[in-house]
Amino acid sequence: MMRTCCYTSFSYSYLSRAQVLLRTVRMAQPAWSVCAVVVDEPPPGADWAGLLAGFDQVIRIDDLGIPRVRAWLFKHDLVEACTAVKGAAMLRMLDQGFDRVIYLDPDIAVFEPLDQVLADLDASVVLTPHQTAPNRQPAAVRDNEAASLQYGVYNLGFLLVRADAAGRAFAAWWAAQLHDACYDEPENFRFTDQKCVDLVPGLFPGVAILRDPGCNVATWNLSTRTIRIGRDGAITVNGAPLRFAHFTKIGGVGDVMLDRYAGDNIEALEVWAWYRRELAREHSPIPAAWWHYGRFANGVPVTTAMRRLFRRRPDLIAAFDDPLFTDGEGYFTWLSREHPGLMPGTPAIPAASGVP
Amino acid sequence: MHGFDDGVDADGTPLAGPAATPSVRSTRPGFQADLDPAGMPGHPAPDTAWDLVPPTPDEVNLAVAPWFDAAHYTASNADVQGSGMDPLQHFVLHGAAELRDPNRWFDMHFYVMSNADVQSMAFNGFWHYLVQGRAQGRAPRRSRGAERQAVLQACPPLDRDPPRPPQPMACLAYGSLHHALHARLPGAAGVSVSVSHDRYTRNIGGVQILVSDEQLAFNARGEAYLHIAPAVPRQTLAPEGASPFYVHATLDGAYVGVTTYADLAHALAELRPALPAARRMVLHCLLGHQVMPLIALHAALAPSDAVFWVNDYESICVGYNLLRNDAVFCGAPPPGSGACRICVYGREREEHLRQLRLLFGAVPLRVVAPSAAALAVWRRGAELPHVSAQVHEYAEIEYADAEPGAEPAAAPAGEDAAIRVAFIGYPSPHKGWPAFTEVVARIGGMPEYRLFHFAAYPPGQPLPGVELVPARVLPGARGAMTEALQAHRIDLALVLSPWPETFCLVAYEAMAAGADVVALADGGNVADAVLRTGRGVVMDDVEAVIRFFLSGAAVRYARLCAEGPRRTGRLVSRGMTATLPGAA
Repeated sequence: MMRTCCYTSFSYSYLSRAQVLLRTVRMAQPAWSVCAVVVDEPPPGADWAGLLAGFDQVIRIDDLGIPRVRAWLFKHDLVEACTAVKGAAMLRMLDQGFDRVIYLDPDIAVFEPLDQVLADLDASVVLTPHQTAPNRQPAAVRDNEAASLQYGVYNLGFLLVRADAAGRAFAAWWAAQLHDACYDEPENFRFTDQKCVDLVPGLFPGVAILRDPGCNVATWNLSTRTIRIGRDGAITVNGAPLRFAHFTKIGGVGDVMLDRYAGDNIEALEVWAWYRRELAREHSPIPAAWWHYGRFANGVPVTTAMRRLFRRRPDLIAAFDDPLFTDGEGYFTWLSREHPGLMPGTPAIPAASGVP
Repeated sequence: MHGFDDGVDADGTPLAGPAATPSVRSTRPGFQADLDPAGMPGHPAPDTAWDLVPPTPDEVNLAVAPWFDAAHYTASNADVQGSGMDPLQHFVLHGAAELRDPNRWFDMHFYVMSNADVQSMAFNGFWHYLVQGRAQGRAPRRSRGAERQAVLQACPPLDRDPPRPPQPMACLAYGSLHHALHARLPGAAGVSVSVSHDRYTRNIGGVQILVSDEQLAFNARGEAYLHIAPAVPRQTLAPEGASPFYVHATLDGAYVGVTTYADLAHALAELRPALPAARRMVLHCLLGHQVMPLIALHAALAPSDAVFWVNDYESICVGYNLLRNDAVFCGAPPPGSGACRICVYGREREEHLRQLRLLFGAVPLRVVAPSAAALAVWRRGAELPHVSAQVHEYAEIEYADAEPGAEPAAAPAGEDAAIRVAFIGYPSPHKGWPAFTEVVARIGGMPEYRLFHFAAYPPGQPLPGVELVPARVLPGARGAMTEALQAHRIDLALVLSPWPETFCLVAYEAMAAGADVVALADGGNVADAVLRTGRGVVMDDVEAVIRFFLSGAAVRYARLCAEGPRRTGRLVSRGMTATLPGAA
């Protein structure tokens, strides 16, 4: 029997999502080993081991063997950081002897087993495109296809890598990409772990595109996918079983897109409403917007500008092992002195007037 | 939004035509399913808003005023309230351009955004809808809005109604209970112990009236009728273990008081040697009750007959209307199916069914459904042991004009020729009120139709353009609804229940009043009765109903009805278990 590891990566603010993912994976694929990669530290007093007890394995960023991990981590905002570790975690799972490793975003829920649809592809790497059918409405083209051209054709909320030569070659390349520049910089043709994967079907053999409409159902493909629920209780998408859905940005812009693209597909609204209820059931003890690495040790929030300045400057990266420290001559002190305009409460200084 | 490969043509235009036309069925002789897409005669309309001459503010004012809801507009727009400006003037001069809604049923944002011609002409969207869009069949708001709202608001029954510890209640002394039962039961020709969710003598509704009829029918034969309702009503079975469990006891329609299952069982066991042989237990509704005490009560009574009525589908799911997420008929799929998993009732269904299996396993029950449609759903969805399963209708229509042609169907000379369309009864989602409001939003104001709502009480939000007719069925005025419908010469009753009704009294009342019924295919007994009698039309969904009216097919159908005799009569209750064949 094929040994499968499924892992997800998140900060504690997404714990409730990860718990729903865990529960649904357990139901659909009870034999899979499920691993949590946690890019966070719990709030004081929280029992992190208890919070994560349901996972077969918990990996923290210090476990990933990333050199000077705190300095590396500081280069990333929350989404970038949780994404950047995916490559190193993938390599680690492959080294643990699993036959295949599947990454699922924490805001995914699995409804039906995936084994067969994945086995049918018999591939070293499996990717799911954001869209598998063309849009014709201008608004849908703009919201969905144009966004894919900008942020990546394939949605990296799902990724399968088989532990064979082609799979390992891809994983090594992908992990290196993420280590070097897992940034949200579409202006530089980068979007975290995703945009670079547009190249993968050309770069590596054994890559398959999972086009099953029941996979990775999300607001960015609801315009061409219709969810139905039969009298037999089966949930289908364009006629195929609903296997997994991706509840991107639920509670935010995802709700706007759901409203726009679910239209009168009441069954889609039912699935999304179910997911909201599942999240509410989790009663997460983590304060909203908690991220340990989002603040300096003295509590001052780290802004994107502070991170971007840091990651553009090799001298700063070399100088500060842990930029969050605020005692003594750390990055915080340096920033306060050299770039007071970046500190909170200070009007932003235009780039032309001194920010390197 | 439809997809490229699903209901949309290559230009992204939603497909119309035969493939997208839901079916319309009727067994009325001469019926033809002719939903003419050309629209109503007398409603010639240019193809697009580009052909319309921009109206003056006065013209807009004149057109929208009858449909403008000033109270709603003011309540939704605090700035208007504070401005002191006339709400209609504000809407015409500013609000429409700002996409503010003129009333509850028109979604200005949706309408303008989904009609490019209206948007490009910068027309007042509501004005356009009234003068052109409605006749063209354009939607005033997103379709399936009621279902959408229901899904967003749905919540698991235990969240709505969490278990509470029993509160001490002023309870009958055991001696008083025993005395009351002893004074009546031993000398009776028979004894029925009946169980339902509330005090039928206090709350008047369909089931309560039928239980009352059952009691009276038994009493007329000299039999005693002891009714039990939970002291604390619930939308689920009561959780196990809460003890003592208080119930209301009513004997032959007279309230006895609050007691406990334990005292009742004890008293019945004590009296049993003196009770008549004809003893039965009748289960009408279990919500709010505990299963184990009911089993104990059955053992204490040791009846010769036990009947379970499929008055709804509580024996299939805790969501007793089988509306998944309170919105869509689910078809009673197996527990644990994907549908149950995402339904607000799914999680509690497992435990609910476990308790029902205990009851049906311990008590040999005859299952009785009030219609063949209900029995079919029950057989498909319930997997419970039972002695037998049969149909026994609640009521039947006794026609006064047994011979066709007794009364001319056409309206008397001088009356308006509009087709009279009615919603009957309490404006609840289960009875299709949201669907009726959708229909009203689309056909309200069309001279071909006159709209009515027959109800005991006005709805919270009256629908503009719908005439409210007070009519209340009471134990002493059982024909009140039929008489009111008849007096207003209703042509078509919209009974758009979205779930398989087990037996729909209002549909029968409408037919007894001479009206035909418009039903949805999922309406269970409503659709069944319509097709069995040829007294109405059955359609797949609300959009088809709207098309039926907008296309003029409803007018043609009503004229077809008028060609025959208008058969009227009265609805006669059969007394439920009291006339059930094979009863002890």
